Amino acid sequence: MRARLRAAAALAALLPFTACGIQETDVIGAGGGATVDVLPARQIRMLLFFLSPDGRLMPSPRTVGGGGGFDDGRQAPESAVETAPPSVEKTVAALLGGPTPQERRAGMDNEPSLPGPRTRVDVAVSGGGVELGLAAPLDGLTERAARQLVCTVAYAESAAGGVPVTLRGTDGTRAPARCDLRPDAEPAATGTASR
Amino acid sequence: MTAARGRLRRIVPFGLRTRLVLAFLLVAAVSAGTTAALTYREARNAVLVSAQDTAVASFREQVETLAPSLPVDPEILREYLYVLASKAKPHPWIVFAEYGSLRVSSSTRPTSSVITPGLRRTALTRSHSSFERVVKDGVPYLTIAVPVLTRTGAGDSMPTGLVLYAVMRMSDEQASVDALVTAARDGALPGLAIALVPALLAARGVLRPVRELREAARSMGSGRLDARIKVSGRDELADLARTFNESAAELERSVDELQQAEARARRFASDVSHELRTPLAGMLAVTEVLDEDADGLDPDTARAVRLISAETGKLAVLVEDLMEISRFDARAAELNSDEVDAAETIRKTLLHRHWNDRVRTELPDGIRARLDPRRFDVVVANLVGNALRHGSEPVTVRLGTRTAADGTALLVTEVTDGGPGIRPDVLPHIFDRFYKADAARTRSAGSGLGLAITQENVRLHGGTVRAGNGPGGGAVLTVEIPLGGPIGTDGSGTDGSGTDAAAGAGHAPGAGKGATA
Repeated sequence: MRARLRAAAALAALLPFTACGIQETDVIGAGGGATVDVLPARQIRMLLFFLSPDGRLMPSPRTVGGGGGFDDGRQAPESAVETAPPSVEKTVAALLGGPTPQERRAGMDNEPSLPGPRTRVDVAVSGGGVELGLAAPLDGLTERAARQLVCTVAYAESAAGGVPVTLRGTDGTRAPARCDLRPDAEPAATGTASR
Repeated sequence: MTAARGRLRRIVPFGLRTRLVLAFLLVAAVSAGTTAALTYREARNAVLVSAQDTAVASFREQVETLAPSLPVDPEILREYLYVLASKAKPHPWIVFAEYGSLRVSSSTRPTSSVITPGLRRTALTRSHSSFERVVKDGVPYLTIAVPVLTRTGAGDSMPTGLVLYAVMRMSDEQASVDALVTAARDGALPGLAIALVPALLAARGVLRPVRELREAARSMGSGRLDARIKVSGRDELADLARTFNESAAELERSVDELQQAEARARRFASDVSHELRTPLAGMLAVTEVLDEDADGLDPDTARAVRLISAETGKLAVLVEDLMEISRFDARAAELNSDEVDAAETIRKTLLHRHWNDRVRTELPDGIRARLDPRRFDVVVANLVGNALRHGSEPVTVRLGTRTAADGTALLVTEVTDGGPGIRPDVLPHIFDRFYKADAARTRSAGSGLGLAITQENVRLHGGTVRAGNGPGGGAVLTVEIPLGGPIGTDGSGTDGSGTDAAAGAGHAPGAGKGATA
């Protein structure tokens, strides 16, 4: 009798093999993301990094030429194609100028602690690094705001955005930092910047 | 009766057949179940993996054909999503886009309730695609998240913040998987049913020899020693059958030899007693004459003559008893039953032996019983004679009736004496032939066969005789005979003391008829 019970138990143990139907799964990785070319093209744009509603950096390319006054990159003036990449100063000024209505519609915004739109900006390139001078104190600048500035400057200075950026304000200088766009690195971004 | 029971095929709850069939079914169920389950698992996974891989690859491929302008315009994005939705593969899907705070979809609702926060978080924080299977309200959905990246330089890319989701119902896959379950079940159940056939065949193959063996054993038990089993095959059961046959043959031979030896011995005893009877008759006649003339002889010669006369008489009794026993052994003893008054029969016995003044009686009149008067006389005479010889007075004969446990009315005859009783070590042997209770007292008046003959006579009546000691210390010998006479004359009481021999009288029909209260 006991042997028969044991056999029945073994049979019952086999049953979980046959969880019927389609089961739920966890989130499963499946290859890389979709890499696309976005408009406007690299040559005629400047990349500004705003913050999404949930605090992530979102790149927003703007066609150069309009000085931030246009609202649709696809209708950029034909002459802009010929213009050289915009200067870092102009790019930072555009960032400090805030998102366009279209960008705002997508939820992009500036970190409130960023200096105001009229803040004077100067840029010095030295030995592979860039130093951004702001005519404003860095004291209240949050980490997110600093990342906005660092990434904007880094991608303005080089296409790959790999240069270290030093922020200098009226009240001091921060350690050089690199732009880290890996979204999962967001909480750890301070580790790169605070060296 | 026994044969009918042998034919009867009972279904024993956990008999050999049930166990064999269960074992077969269990094996079949386990193997069919395991096979079906494993096959089902593999097939299901194959179906799902194929659909998922196709969907993920084709969705990513189609997303890569886009060239959105950033920041995306919701209206233009919606147009994109319509295009993506139209190229769904392998099944229709709904495409959702999330960009910052924008939520756009190819359906009427901008967001999906199927997309889990986990998938959303993975899509936003990792730069690789991912998918998740979600079951909502019993419907399985495949949700795919593809984050859109853009090139920043040679081989470098960065997330644009745009994530596209595809939500696809897996109804076809579910139908396929359900079909697999049905197929597995439809395959396994007939398999189980088919497994019953070999199970029953195997059970039959085992049970038939076992049944034959049982019947053969039973017929051997009931005395047919020539019962044999047909041996077929070379398996263990055939070995068992062969061994049984050999043992049966051996047993038959030994029993045969024993019976022959016993028959020879009986015939010898019978022949001897017959041969002795004729000369003894002559001797008795001579000793009677000598006895009469003994008074005229001188005293020594007279004593010798009287001794010879007495011993010759004893010898004659012994020879008579031996012949009686021989008749019992040869089963030649016959019962000449007659309906008699038991008390009257006993009184006659005591009167003929001139014992009526030495024996107290308690003989209620009116007890009628079917008896062989001659044999009953021998029984009573032996018991009373025994009590007078070995016990001491007062010797009492009581008559009564009793109803046995099975309802048979019994005539109870009890002979008690006032002696010291029978020693416990002697009790079991008291009905043995030539058994002497006192080894030193080799010479006694009796032939040594009296109680044995009593027992045989009682058995012939279908009754029992018991020996015991009464509360006062005297020996008590009790004879119980069915009032209605014996039913089976096969003398089933076989144990020496006869204590349980009543079984032979157990099936008297209408047994209660003769019972008196």
